[in-house]
Amino acid sequence: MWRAPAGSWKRWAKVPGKSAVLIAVLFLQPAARAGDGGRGLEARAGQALETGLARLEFDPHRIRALFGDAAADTAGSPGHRLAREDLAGLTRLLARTAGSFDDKGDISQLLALDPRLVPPPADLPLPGFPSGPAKAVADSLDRLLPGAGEAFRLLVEAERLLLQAFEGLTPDEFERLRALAAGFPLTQDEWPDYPIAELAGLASHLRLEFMLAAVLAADKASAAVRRAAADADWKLLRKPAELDSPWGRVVLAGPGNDRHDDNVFLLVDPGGDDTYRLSASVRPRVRMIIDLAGNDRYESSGADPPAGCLAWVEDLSGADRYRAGPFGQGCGLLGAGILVDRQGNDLYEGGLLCQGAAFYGIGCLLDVSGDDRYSLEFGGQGACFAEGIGVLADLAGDDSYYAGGRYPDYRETGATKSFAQGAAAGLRPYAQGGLGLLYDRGGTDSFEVGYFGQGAGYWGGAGLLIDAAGDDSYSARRYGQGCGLHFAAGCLADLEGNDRYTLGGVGQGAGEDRAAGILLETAGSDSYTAGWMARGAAGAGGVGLLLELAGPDLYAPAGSASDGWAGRAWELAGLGFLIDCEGVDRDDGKVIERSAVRSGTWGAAVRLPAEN
Amino acid sequence: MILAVLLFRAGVLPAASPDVGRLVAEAARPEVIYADPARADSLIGEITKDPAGSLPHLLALVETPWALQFDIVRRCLERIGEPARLTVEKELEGTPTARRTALLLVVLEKIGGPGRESLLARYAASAEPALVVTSLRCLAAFGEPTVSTSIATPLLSHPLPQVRLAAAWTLGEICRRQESPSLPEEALAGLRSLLADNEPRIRLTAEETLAAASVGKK
Repeated sequence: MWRAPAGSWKRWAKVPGKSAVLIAVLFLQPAARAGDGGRGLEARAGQALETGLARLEFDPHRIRALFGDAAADTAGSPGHRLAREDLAGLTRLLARTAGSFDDKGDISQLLALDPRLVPPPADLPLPGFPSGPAKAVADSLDRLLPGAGEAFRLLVEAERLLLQAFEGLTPDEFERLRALAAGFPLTQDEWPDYPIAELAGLASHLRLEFMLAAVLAADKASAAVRRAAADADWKLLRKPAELDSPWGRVVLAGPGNDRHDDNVFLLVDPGGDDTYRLSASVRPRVRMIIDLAGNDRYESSGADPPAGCLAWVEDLSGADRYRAGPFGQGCGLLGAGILVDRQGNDLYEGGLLCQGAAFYGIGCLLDVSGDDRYSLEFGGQGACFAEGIGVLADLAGDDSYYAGGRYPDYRETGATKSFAQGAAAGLRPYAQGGLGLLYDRGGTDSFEVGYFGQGAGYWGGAGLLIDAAGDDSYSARRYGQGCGLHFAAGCLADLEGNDRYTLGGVGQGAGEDRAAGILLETAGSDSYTAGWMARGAAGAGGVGLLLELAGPDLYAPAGSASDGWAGRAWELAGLGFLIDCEGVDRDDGKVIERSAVRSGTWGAAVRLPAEN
Repeated sequence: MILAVLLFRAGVLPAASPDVGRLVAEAARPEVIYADPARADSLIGEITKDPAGSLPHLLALVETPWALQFDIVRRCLERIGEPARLTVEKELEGTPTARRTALLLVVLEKIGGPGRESLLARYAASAEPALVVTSLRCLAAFGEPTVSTSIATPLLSHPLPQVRLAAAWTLGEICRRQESPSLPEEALAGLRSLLADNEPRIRLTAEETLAAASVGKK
């Protein structure tokens, strides 16, 4: 049962419906970018590919991977479906996706990428619950903060939807699943000593579509809070107000420098430099924190993930600092984790599975503006393991992204695993992959990973990195920059700017074992440095494509098996293409133009003249 | 050794001895198999120092779901050589599951030899495409050319593209193994018809195989 703070809510009842906006910029709406929309880019990329391949007498509409029965385990996964596309279809889809995001910071648009993840119909009947208490709390909240009652009702609805996601598991089964997921050794290549079959079996009962529906309901709740906050006269709300409800506490904090925990159903803090301690507690099951202003600190503690929950943290302005060990900053592990930061130069530091990371869940980090720094140990910045969707979207500013440094990869002395920046992998051979996306909309950005990232997919996963503008630098050690392995897809698309790509090996458009790897560059004077198996390289039935649409580019001499190279294993030959469509290119001081160099039957590097 | 196999199949022997299993798992650790190949090789030597003793346990591990462990098992069986080949062929003469059969054929590709084409022909006629493809790969690796060609040729018109591809490639491998390759007219006709196949990889593979078949004829 709820109770109103003694005596105080009579004062809130006098708050006018509309008043001055507390924060000058609650919604940052960058001007729409001029230039190609998704369709225009799609057409240009498709035409360039067809022209290039026509020179080689390859039919771009029929070049795709052939799969044997081993693909059955990944047949429905996003990466496998992408890799089965014919090459022209995959290139056009990548271009259309890359050009399709708008400026509004719309989470629902970002989460719509996996066609398997479709929310249930809005009119689907859900188990009922007494609506009386919810309405009573909402009405009280409306008196405190007009318009916030709608947010409360939407969060109640989000909880109802979230519960449906776990309806197929008994409480004991869920606890067992939670323990297995929390202890899963994600950084290992294989898990012979772990009951992974049991984990995958229990997880197969999850219904991620209801988790998505819960997130979309929470998104509407967030919008309702922001509208209410914009209209509120915060000068009248000098003291905190608190309501208890069956779903958890509802807190309207004061303008000072506060310390909060996340034992709340809904918390709105109007200002001050606040500190938030975010826990691994599983109650309340849904919790939303919205901070309107101030330079705030958010710290996640504990080794366990808040599984079975929907945790939404939103900061509307200020230079904020986010620190998490494992499982934070938009982490969806058996649940949904959403972090939105709308303004300010922010710092994000995370350990394992952070910053838009998912493991049988939905994880999203959306940063709307500011020059931000992201650092992560492993598994995030738009990454997904097993199933689900992990997204990091940064819509403006000069940003830096780093992932790695902690978990060694024994294929190379000193190398560490990253699994970040648009990376996705299934749990071979038990679970199909999901979708990992890193989307950066503008600014001069730097991206750095060790092993596996920057548009990389493994065992059914689809990993995408899309950068829409700015002069960017990409550095990866191995398996990156458009790399697909084992029935998966890894794609990197950079739409504008003079960019620099550095890779140790296996990437820049590389596909291995019936997977697809694409690097799509649409404009600018770019430079490519790579070791081996790179720049349009493919083995064992894979497809590798580096497609450069425009601009004079520099290709430093690469290592073996590069520049339109294809290898084979048994009857499975790869198809590797480097196609550069415009501009005078340089390779080791030599100018390359109007050339088509075949690498055996299956690979080629084509440089087209500018007038094409 | 045959007694050991029979005892294993009768379920008398344990599915995999702790020692062999432990050593395989040790060799399959990334810090060994990637970073310390000498140690991995040493462990394989230790596992296979008693071929008769380790063979049944290795065969029990063939169905491991872990790719790195399978790689170690396959390398062990390759190290054992002839006794492993005989045992694998003996098991394939029975009726193992489709998955186990496919894995055994992958192993056989590295350790097999000519003379068992009729066994491979049986699996090349399977309804399971994975078995068809893996048996074709064995024929490509070591099958007697004339018999292998007669097995692969009808598969050039198989309804599944991965089988047509494997058949076309197998004929090419058979040609590439010979100093004076020669394919019968039926095979050549089948390959020529694949030049118009819907799948570009099949068209290109058929083209490669026809080129391989014409080597030495000019």
